[in-house]
Amino acid sequence: MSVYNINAICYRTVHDRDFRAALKADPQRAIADYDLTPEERQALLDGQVGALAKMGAHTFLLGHLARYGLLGLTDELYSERMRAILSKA
Amino acid sequence: MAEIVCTVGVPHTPHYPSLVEREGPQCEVARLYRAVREHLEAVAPEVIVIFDSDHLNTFFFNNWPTFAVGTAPKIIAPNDDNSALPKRTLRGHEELGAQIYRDGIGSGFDLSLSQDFSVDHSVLVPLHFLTPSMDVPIVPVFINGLAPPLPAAKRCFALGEAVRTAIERWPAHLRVAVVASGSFSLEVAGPRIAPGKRSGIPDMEWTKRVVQRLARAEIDDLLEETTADQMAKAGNVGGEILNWIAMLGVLGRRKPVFVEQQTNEGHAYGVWRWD
Repeated sequence: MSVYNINAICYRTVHDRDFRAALKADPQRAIADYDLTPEERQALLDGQVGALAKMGAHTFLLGHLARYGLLGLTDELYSERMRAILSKA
Repeated sequence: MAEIVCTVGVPHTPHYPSLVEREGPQCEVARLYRAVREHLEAVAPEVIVIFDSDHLNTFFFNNWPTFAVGTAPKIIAPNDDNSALPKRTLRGHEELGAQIYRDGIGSGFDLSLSQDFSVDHSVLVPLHFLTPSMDVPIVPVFINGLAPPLPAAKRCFALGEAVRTAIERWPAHLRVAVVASGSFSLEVAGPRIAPGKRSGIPDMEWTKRVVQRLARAEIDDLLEETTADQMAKAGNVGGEILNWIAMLGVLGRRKPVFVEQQTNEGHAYGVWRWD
């Protein structure tokens, strides 16, 4: 069920400008009220999009995090981490 | 009785409006959209039915339809901010949408219904190029092309046939065009993107094969080949081909006026007319 919440956080970055700004300013606080496992929460805060994809988050939605430069992600970092799932698999 | 005057298929790449702005009317993207638009203008549709896959913007996993019909007089677009297009209100053809919904249910398709919704770039980008004044009312028919399990290709073809029947049962004279929006092979933000990029094309061979099947009207082969595995192999939005397949269901097994793959892209532009 908490993969749903990872997806919901990504969705909200597109559709809720205030949430997007909050996630940029203070990620830990912005996602504090979401029910996530400790692993999911840490992966999210670390911008570990490859790990989140492996947990079942929708990759199209994860892309929003890089598009808005959230959680320390750039296009380069995002693609490196996302592409790594295939080489490690 | 309503008449289906034309069906077309196009991509909806979010940055194409700004690309064409930058590169001018002679660039390939501008030329291909224009070729489609000229056919559409020649048949002067009064309504556009558009098969579209929402990109988790109109709908989300709290309520995710496999098939849905949108019937509303006013439709806000875009609801995502990933194209350079300004927000506007599109006209919806509520009554034809209601007929497609009702008749679709009647013919065995358990369609979802939305009477209050917005749409993302996957509807707005095609309209931007095909009906720039956006004065033709639309009926969006949404097909899940992004979140597996996707509906089967044959089921989507049959949905197209049901939509055709519903349109043809419209009692008054009405000229209807059908638009399919989407790619055949595309990965957006998934593991098969190009290094440092936001997208990639995992299966160019598949794209070429689809274009060839469309050109030759080898529809049964295409339906056999468009499996869940093949769509997944074609990318995380590879299911957008289902919009084209539903469009084929509307027009039957006809050959296109033209279908052309864009250079080095996993998508194509096509037009079917029989007037």
